[in-house]
Amino acid sequence: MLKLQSVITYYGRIMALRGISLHVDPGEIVAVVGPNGAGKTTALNTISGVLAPKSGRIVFDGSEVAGKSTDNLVDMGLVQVTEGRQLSADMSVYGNLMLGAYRRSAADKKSIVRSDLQRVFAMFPILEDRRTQSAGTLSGGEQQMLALGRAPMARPKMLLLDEPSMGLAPLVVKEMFKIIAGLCKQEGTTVLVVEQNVKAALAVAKRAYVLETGRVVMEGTASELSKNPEIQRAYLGKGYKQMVE
Amino acid sequence: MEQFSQLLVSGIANGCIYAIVAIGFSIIYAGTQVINFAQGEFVMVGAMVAAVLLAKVSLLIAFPVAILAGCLVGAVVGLCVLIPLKRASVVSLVILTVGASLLIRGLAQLFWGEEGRMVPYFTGVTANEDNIFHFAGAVIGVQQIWVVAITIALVIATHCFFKYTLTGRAMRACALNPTGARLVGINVHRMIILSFIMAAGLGAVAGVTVSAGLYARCTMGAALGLKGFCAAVLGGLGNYSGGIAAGVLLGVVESLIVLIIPSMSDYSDAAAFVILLVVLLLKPDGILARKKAVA
Ligand SMILES: Nc1ncnc2c1ncn2[C@@H]1O[C@H](COP(=O)(O)OP(=O)(O)OP(=O)(O)O)[C@@H](O)[C@H]1O
Ligand SMILES: [Mg+2]
Repeated sequence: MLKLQSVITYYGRIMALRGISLHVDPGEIVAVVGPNGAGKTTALNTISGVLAPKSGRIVFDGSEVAGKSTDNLVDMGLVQVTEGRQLSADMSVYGNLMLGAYRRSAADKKSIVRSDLQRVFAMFPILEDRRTQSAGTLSGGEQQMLALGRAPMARPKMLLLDEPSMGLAPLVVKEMFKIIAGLCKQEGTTVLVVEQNVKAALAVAKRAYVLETGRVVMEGTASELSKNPEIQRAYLGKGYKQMVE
Repeated sequence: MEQFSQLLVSGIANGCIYAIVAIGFSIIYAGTQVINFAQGEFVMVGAMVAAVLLAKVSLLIAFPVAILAGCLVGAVVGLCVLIPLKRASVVSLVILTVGASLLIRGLAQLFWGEEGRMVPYFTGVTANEDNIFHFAGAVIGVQQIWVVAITIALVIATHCFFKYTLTGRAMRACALNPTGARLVGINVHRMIILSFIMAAGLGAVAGVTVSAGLYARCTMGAALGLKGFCAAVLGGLGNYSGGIAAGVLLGVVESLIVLIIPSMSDYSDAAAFVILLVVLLLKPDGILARKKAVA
């Protein structure tokens, strides 16, 4: 579904991605973890066309997409939910959700879009309660749900999620990952998810990549990685627990 | 009293034109943060194209063609702003629009010359009794009714466009959050060009409407552009209803000021700028600005 080969991305003269290769198979959930500043967000932005790579290949759904514009990629079925949420603050919850269906609205019937909207409301009932409220006045967690709820409105083949658990209460994080797993299972949506909550991410993901300073330093199945002592020490906090004991 | 209502009527009619031009400023500002100083030239292009065509064809043909010509010029200016948009600062883009306006005016003078061209009233050959209404002591010309009617129609159409159509929503999304708009698949560049086309189309309508019964000139854009700019700033840039209210108010004040200071009649143009200065000192975000909560 998605394949990156030696992708290099710069910010001006700073090299943020130093040749990244990874792949995501259809219907898979793959996690990307790593410390702050590792280049996780940069990698997602490069895939979604928000940033253009300096070199390397990006193949999505069988075609070369490196350097393509974001609206083309959304058309092809690749939708990103960013770290910063990027909602239209002065627009209502409903308006924001309908914007999610922007590329389809011309082609698809209104009734189909409306039934998708009902599904999103079923996933996040709180959004239905707040449908006329302007997005900027939602709480941080509600905004996060809106950002995530907007993505399925585009009926994507693949979702790129940047820290979907950010700012959410622990119980809601669990709920959120359940929804992501559900999207994958029921709709066959492929998911590439960046997470700081490594434990939660490894629980739903089939495979994962560890990024450090713009490079992939480790990869494997989720169960392999969650047993890896280095991962446990750096991300899962077991070493810390042992140290205290 | 009679003089008052007469001045009020002509003030409202002029103010409507400022309001339309102000909407144009706000549409482009919302999408790009650029104050488009070529807005006045869109007005002129509309007026001149209509004037030239009206010598040969009827208004039913001349008016739409004039709007199309305005839109075309708007698209070109939009492209000129778009190409350096990412690399250039807003200030240099604003200066670019000043350059564009000088170029458009220069080219227009080259093609059409300096002299004014007569534009007939929309309906009725001259201002004879059939085309005049009496109301509260004021004489209202048919053209003034046209001006107000067209303005109301445009305001409603613009409002519905932004509120109810997908493209309108997409344009608003671009203005509110360009990155977010890109993420849902909106082509932000296309929306920016579209905002220039819309602003120019509105400007052209204003140009044709304001010149009817008068002369269209290649130099008419500057003054109308500046008045529209004053209205847009007074209403709060990017705030459509504010700009419309401020435009009408500006027209009325400009017209009525002669009652208070008779010697102002020669300087009534200056009134707009005095008002602008005073209001900006008191309410820098425009007359309709709500107090924003500290974010
Ligand atoms: N717009 C930018 N201009 C210059 N450098 C940037 C920019 N955005 C990110 N960087 C740099 O690129 C590197 C990777 O940043 P990135 O945002 O991809 O990290 P991340 O892995 O997502 O981190 P986090 O977990 O904190 O979100 C960092 O060193 C960062 O300082
Ligand atoms: Mg990040």
